[in-house]
Amino acid sequence: MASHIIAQAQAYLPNIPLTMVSQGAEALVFTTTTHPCLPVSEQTDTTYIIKYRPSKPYRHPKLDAQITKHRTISEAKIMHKLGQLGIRVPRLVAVDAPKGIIWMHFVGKLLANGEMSSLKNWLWYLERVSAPGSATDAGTARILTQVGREIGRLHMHDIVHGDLTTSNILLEQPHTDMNDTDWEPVLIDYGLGSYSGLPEDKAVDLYVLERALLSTHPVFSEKYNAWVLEGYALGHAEVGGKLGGKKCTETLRRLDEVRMRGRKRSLLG
Amino acid sequence: MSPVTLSFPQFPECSVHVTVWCKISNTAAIKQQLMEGNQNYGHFAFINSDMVTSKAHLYSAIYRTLTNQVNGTMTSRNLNSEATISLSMNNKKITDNLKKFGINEHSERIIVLEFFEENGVDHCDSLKTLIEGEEAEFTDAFLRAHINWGELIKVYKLDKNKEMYYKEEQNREELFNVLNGSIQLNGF
Ligand SMILES: Nc1ncnc2c1ncn2[C@@H]1O[C@H](COP(=O)(O)OP(=O)(O)OP(=O)(O)O)[C@@H](O)[C@H]1O
Repeated sequence: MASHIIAQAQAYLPNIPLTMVSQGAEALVFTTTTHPCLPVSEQTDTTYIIKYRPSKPYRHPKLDAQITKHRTISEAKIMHKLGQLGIRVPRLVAVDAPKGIIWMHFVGKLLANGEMSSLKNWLWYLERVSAPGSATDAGTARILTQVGREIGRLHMHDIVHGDLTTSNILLEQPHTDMNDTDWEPVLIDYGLGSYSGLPEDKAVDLYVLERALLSTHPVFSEKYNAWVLEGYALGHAEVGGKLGGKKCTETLRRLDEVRMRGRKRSLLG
Repeated sequence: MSPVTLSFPQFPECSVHVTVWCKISNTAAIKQQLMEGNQNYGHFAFINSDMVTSKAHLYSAIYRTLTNQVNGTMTSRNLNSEATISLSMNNKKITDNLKKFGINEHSERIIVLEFFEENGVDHCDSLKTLIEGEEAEFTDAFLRAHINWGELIKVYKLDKNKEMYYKEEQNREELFNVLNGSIQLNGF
């Protein structure tokens, strides 16, 4: 990673200790134990996430600043909206839009093998490290159903995620009395999120996740996906009742078409 | 009681004094002096404490104020008015928000802020002569006890049906999340 980008982040965030956890195409993600809004005298040792969108040297500086600000605000607004709707998201802590910085709560924890509790890592852990059979047991079914349910609830509010990979689904244990195998999924990374009521956009969300499950967890992906879709219907019913059911059917029908297009494309490609 | 002095991690060169006052009998006069631009009053931000639900709520607005200053995106003339309107969801309506979040004729409880630079002078001692009232302790319990729920719900566009929910002790954090998001996204 070009160290000048990290240096820029640090210059924008004086006195904030930064530990890099991810470097994507769009943003750098850091953890820190400093809360930006709390006075020095009231800091605790809670961990927070900082997502920083660096400027792109190939863009015109003025346009670059606009784009950075716009994307930062868009992501933060969606997160705020979803939080208010009672959908599990990392809650916003602070936003410094002109600098391209979002602060949010840290979600999840480390698995027994030291990896972050993303859906991807957790399924890998079950498949490779955990007891045989646990990848397809009732606990796993529950979690994947919950994943689908969250997506259904998101879509019922006409918000689409735009990048539903298994690393953009984190698992957390919000209640202290939850046992080790029990998790609640949290969808993160709304950088490509948008408002849309179109079955097509929603179906693409589901398709992206389906492909992600297939490529990273080929052995059980069919089962996983069936659970996700089961939950998806539940989420719709919960938010929208009968109308929800109708919308769900529309999107699932569309999903068949999207799959077909995908298959054609891979035959041609 | 001496003022609480706060400094924020990213802004070490700036400190903020906070004092809280109750049973104030001269709010109309203070307001008048502020309008007339009396310098003795101009050092301070006078904030309607009934619109502030917790310390963290105030801190969120102070963070936005200092960030706006650094970024050159302040919408009002100085840090004092900026801090007051930073409590709102829409910092472009300056007059309106100064009325809602600033001192008004009816305020009996206010929070007074003074921003001052490292090693700079502060004027907190003069507050005793400016405010006819009693000093109170800056605590969550004090702020929580005097919330003007009706106004709060209106200005933050909270769901009216959730008033009882937000009032419950265990949903405090949820209330804060909503207010905080509104403040952080204010102006965008
Ligand atoms: N709130 C959070 N709590 C814990 N970890 C997080 C959080 N947000 C992000 N992360 C970690 O940082 C990684 C990248 O975050 P995010 O997907 O938002 O950034 P991105 O730049 O859009 O990434 P990519 O381009 O790889 O999709 C996540 O996969 C996750 O491991």
